[in-house]
Amino acid sequence: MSKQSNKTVARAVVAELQAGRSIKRVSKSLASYLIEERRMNDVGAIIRDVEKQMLVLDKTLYVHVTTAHELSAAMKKEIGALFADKSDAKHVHIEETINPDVIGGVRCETAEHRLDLTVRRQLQRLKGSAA
Amino acid sequence: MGNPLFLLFASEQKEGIAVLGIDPKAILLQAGTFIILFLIIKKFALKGIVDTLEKRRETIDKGVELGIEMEAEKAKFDESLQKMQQSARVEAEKIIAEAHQEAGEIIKAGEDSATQKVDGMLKDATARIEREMQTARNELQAEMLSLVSEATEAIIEEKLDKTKDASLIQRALAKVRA
Repeated sequence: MSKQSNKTVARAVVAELQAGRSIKRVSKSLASYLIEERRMNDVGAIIRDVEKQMLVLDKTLYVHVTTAHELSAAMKKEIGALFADKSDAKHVHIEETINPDVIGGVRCETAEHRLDLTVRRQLQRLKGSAA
Repeated sequence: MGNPLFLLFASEQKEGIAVLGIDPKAILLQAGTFIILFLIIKKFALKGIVDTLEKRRETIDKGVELGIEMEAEKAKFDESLQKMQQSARVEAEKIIAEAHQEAGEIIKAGEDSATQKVDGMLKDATARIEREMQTARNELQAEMLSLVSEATEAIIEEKLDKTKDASLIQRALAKVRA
């Protein structure tokens, strides 16, 4: 059996979700498939493909937000509104990750874009400006 | 030892002019002897002597002529030599002048070449120094920025609480929105 591309796998996942199957069940199926095919390293790329297809088909945008401190609801809403304005998405899902290494600020990542407003990034740019 | 003819008449008495010690006979005899001797010499030797003397004279005349010719030749030779010396001197001066000129040109070319080489070396050295200074400046700047960054990181980590972080995020998002 030939290896299916990431996009094909993502398309299958989206089809399952649109068919009304629960996210938990689809996630289990995907995990089983990737383990069986020994493709666990592709999980990130497949998830990004799923998100891209969800944006196209369902107008849903997934935003992964990384901050040093927990975001307030108002702040999440503001971030969602910002990304909704910049894209065609009708629904924006914020997935928050707390990581003190970013020091301060916020880093927002979608399947296709990355907006890094963290203090860590600013400091890296300051260091890199001398090169 | 005396003349035999003279001895023959020595014992005779002297009278007349003989008293003065002059004997006409002896004179005649001596004259005759002289004439005979002269004739003998003329017959056998005079011609050879004259010829020899003539030859010698001719030789001397030739020598004198040759001397005169040689003198003239010498004068000509001296004149020619003088001209040659003058010509050689002029030629030598010309050669020396050309040599001086060539030497001057060679020295000038050498100086130009050396000047160019020195200029090139100076230029290279200046460029190298400039590069090294620039590298040192960059390294210093990088080091300084790294230190600033680390210091800033330490200070921010210590002072950035949740409220200030939220304010920072809001300002950053506002910039993006603008």
